[in-house]
Amino acid sequence: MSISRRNFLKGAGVAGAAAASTAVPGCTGTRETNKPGDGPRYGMVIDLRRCFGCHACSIACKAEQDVPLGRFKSWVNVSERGSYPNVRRDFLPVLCNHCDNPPCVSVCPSGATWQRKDGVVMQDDEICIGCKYCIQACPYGVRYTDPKKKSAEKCDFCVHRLDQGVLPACVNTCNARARVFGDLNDPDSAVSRLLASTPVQSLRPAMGTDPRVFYIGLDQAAAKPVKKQSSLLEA
Amino acid sequence: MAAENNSSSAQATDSALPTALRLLASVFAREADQPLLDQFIARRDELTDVLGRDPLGALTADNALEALAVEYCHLFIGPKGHLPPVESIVLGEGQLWGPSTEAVVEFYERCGIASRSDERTFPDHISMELDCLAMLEETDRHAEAGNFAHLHLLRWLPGLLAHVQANASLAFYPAWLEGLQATLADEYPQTDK
Amino acid sequence: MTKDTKITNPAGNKHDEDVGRRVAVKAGLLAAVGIGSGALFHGLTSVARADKAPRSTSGPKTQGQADPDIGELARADVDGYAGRTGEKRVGVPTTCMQCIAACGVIGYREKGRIVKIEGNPHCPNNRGMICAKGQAGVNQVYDPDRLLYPLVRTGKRGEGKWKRLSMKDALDLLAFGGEIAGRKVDGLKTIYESDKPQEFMFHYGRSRIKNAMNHFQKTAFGSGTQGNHTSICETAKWLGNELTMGKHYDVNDAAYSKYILIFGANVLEAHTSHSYIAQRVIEAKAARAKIVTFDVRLSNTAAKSDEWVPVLPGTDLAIILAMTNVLLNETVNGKVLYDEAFITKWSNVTIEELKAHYARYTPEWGESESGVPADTIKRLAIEYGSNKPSSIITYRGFVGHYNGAQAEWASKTLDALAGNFNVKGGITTKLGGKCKDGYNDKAAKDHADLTRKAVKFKISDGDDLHMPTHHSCQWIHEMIAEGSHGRPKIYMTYVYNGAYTTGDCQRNREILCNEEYIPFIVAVDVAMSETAACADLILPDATYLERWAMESAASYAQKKFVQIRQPVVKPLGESMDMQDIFIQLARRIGGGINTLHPYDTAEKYVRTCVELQTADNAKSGKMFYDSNDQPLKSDPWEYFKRYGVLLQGNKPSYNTHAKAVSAEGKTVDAKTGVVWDPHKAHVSDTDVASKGYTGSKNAYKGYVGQQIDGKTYAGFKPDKFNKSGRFEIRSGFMPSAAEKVMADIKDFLTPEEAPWVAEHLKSGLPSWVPVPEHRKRTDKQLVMISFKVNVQIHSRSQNCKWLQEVYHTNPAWLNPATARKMLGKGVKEGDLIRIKSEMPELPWRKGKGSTSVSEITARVHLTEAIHPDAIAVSYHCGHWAYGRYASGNPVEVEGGNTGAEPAGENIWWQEGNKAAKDPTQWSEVAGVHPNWIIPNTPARVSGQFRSNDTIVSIAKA
Repeated sequence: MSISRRNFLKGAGVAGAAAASTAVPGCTGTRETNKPGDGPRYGMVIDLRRCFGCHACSIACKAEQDVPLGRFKSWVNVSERGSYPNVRRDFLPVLCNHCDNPPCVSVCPSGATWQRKDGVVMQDDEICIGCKYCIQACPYGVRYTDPKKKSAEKCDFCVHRLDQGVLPACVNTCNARARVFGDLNDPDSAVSRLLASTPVQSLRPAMGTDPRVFYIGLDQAAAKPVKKQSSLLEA
Repeated sequence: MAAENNSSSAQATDSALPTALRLLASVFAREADQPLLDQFIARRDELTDVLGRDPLGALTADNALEALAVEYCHLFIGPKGHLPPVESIVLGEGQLWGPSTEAVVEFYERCGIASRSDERTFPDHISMELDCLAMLEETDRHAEAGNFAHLHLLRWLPGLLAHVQANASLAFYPAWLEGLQATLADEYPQTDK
Repeated sequence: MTKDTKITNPAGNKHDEDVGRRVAVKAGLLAAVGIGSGALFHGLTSVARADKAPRSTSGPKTQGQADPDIGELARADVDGYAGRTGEKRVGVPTTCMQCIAACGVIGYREKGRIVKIEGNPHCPNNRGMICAKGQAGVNQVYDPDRLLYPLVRTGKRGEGKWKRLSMKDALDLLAFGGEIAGRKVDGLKTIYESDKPQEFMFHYGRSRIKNAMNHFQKTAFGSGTQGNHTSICETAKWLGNELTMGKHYDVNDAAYSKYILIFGANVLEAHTSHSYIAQRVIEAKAARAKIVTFDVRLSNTAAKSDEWVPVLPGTDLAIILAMTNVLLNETVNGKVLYDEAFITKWSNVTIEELKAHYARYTPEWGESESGVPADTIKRLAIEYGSNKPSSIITYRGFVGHYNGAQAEWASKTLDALAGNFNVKGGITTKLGGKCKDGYNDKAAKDHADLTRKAVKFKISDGDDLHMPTHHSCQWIHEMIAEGSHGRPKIYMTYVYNGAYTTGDCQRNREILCNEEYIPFIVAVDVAMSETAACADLILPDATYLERWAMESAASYAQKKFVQIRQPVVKPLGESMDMQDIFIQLARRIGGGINTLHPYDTAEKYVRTCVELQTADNAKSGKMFYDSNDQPLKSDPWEYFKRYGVLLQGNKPSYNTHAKAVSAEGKTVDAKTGVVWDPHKAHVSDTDVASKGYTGSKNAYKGYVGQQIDGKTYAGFKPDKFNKSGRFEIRSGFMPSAAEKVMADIKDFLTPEEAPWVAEHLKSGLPSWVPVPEHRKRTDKQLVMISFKVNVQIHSRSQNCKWLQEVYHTNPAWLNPATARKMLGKGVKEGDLIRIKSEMPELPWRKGKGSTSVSEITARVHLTEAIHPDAIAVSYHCGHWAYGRYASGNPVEVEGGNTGAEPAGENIWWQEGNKAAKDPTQWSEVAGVHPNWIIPNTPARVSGQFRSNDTIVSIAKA
């Protein structure tokens, strides 16, 4: 990461905290999602012991979210280590983490990026001015510029499906049942039971984003730095 | 509406434009059939004058049908180096029945137009879009026609023309397409913004 | 006309500079209208203006089912849901056809367009989940290069010059004959009315309309000259099944297994039952089953296994034989590891016989052949034998070799010895649902006098093969060229791309493009495949999302069910379901074949199948159940259309071989104990007396059961040849192969080996056969294998842009140590190399064993995840046809509009990369196809295409 970007993010973090108190119009600010008892807070657990990297989720998302070629809202990183015959290969599905402290929301100047009370970080392509600050701010590389609309785009947990009681497309199709989705504020939900019983990790915890996508069996060495969209297809 | 023409020409325009558009649609809807070609060959000089170039070249009554069928397939159907003359493909949506096709269908619906039930051609095929213009013109809906032309056909016509000009081995389709473009430019000029 | 008026020129046409000419054009066209083109184009019509329905911001709450393991929200279901824009999506249950697994899916239609596919939660196999290929099915429907119109060639065959025909004219040409590029050809009617109906050949690839196809071609037309595609993948496996357990498929009941051995099967990326066996293997893993994968590469399946054991290609058989030796001889806590009761009662050997025969297949011997350490072989065999139920999953990595059928025979034997057959968590024979056939059960019966006995040219089974029970399709071109068994006059292919999918592609094309061999080639497909490119007439098939069928898949829920295939959208352009093409052809040919096609549409046929089965249920006491396992209360056809499945069993079924059956009125074969109905098999009484069950032609078709100790059981039902109902470990059909096999391999055996190998071949028990040519492999040579990846199917998915984006080139996997040794220490990732086939010729194939092209170029992928003696090239890539996404041949237009989706800067063909002019050379946009240098020579016993045996050398390019 370049020095200037690091400084930018440090600054963004400070600005984010400041933004929370100055209530940027259209933004719910950070750390204002539902607390237990106030309503649902959506999250996801991805069990990497089960995931076998089949890309059903990548393609399901492509279809459901109308993602153009060259871009992905959900992607599977594959990494390989070791020397013959002791070789391992790891699969890491990556998507928007719908963080509890989302840097993208903090930096958005127009309010096109905002967070629902249930935690879904939303993106309004009609308000977006295409400044790309959010793309820079996200440490996970899960945002991109739509080549036609020029707006920023990203995973929204298939919120249109959630509102109808239907699973997000990636969760629906996963053959490994590796993706578990639901209300983190409900202790009896599948995600809550998993979090209560199994150690989980999240991506880049040092970034302070407080992600709400958790991984079981995340090997930080295998979680190679998540790349920008333009290099997702490199071998 | 273009006001540059003399008035007698303008009168001719009003009543015959739909038919002219349908003639253009027919040229692109499918391969030219023998009756049409016979007429084109018989009135070749007129056509050359009209289109600004001879659409037939070395084609004769004997070889035109086959040669043009092969050319039509080569340019518009396949298997390699072709471009289906449909909006969603030429605009780069990378698929048949893309968002553009849906937008075209919605436009038709708002105008009280639909594909005939036995018609298997795509709604955003050049022939269908021309037919739409023709239907709007013959029901005196010139402004809607202009709207449609600018929202749809005129946006992708240049891309189709570039392909045809680059890849045609005969003069026929470039000549007609250029004539089509000229007609539309004249009929539906860009208003200065 | 005014010449000086300024008119803006939005089109910017550089040719049109004369402003006044524009006016002239319009005026001139108006005059030209008088040309009297009476039938001007009229594609649109007036309708009542539709009030635009208000857009809802959310759809109705769905009634779908939740899957408690993954969350409280419901899976998308048949009721549909609203998409991102708020538009309602209608759900249409149907069956996927991106691969053979035939998962139940739901196609979602929004505003007349199919926009999304999900798994069908009502389907007991895949239970609401599907793979990447299934998700990309919408790409098939709207592929910009999709065949939408009939085409007839105008230039030379393969030249690429076509013109369009109307569907009516195309079907007339096929039915009545006519002229193609100046040459007269006979149509189907002429052949139908001649004394040689077998001159009509039908060669199918991914056909899921078997009843309609066999009815048209065999029952009605009278031609048995049919080609299939099985040998490209797994004919050796099916033969291995047929020698032992009987009719394929073998189903691994993986969800309940405690221990799973996987040999050359990449279930997490491919497999005949891909999605739903993968689901169950992961369930087993989550339940702490141990999974061990033997493979040449660390496939994704190996990556998720507890152990990856690298295997030298073609030596899996040795490992299996050695493991069997261990299972026979080792004990754990004083207990044997084999199931003596099963062997004694159900097989046709004794433990003593097996111990004697397997004595020489020690773990040390296994190591000497395979390189797998003896200790590992022994340890894993003991683990497999002591953690039951267990099973062995095998596929093309295991059987795509010279010794494939022998390997499968040995593997099934091992599973039987371990007592894994037909137990929960073991390996079972397939349960597949079925409805009565509206064609052969009804239409043919109604007009039995019009049916024909099919006659065939014997060109599908290779020549001089032992038991090609599922044919040898890759050798069909050679058989046609050689000609002594007959040549078809009309060769019709249906979703079959033999020019590309078999080996020696250059030779395939040469034969196909030779008009002297086959006068009339017709290809029916959805894409301009490499084979269609060599045809005379092309008919556009409807995609699987646009048509009807009665579907059935091997049940991993261990209960029978049938699935519907029904249109989510109408066929695009003029594409037409092959079943409807058959009907149209029958109408044109007339006579008996017309009468034998009473249904005007495929829908009517599928509905008749359900009605016939409903009537049969009423008579026989069988039932339909709904997807909740409850007896079906509603109308079956309506339920079928709404939910996509009809169950025919409502609880899992095991031990099917032990089910009691009645021998009443049937014949008992004294020699074998088989209970059978000779009349059903059309066997005469004299043959029954003189030849018995084993010796009478096609006696197996009358099989009823197996008598053991005075009781009659369902047994292990035979298929293709007259195996008994026992689990046959000793086969009476294999000793006669010994001579042919020895002729092939004797020059490649050591003097010490030859005598015992020959003796074992004659023994009729599973035994060692090396891949002969590998014995001559030098240390400067490697074995080239092919493999599949998770986002592609073999050859039909590369037109799907979403899949092609993820995987569009196929660099050759090479171990870095090997790379440094063979290519020099400076070798780098992505270097361009030459791969040259150096396959020694078997005596039997003298002069015909090699390929026309012997070398391809490829980029190298250096990886530790592959055996050092192998090089792996996946066979998905290297299309030179099949459209712009597959071949990387976009339209080149000034301004950069390629006709495919341009989007941003990551589109692979916009990186300045072009398709290779010569498809045997690496292309940055489409990789290279390995099949150019893989010989078509069939495996001697089964006819298997040996996709994993080619010996190659490599060099820097």
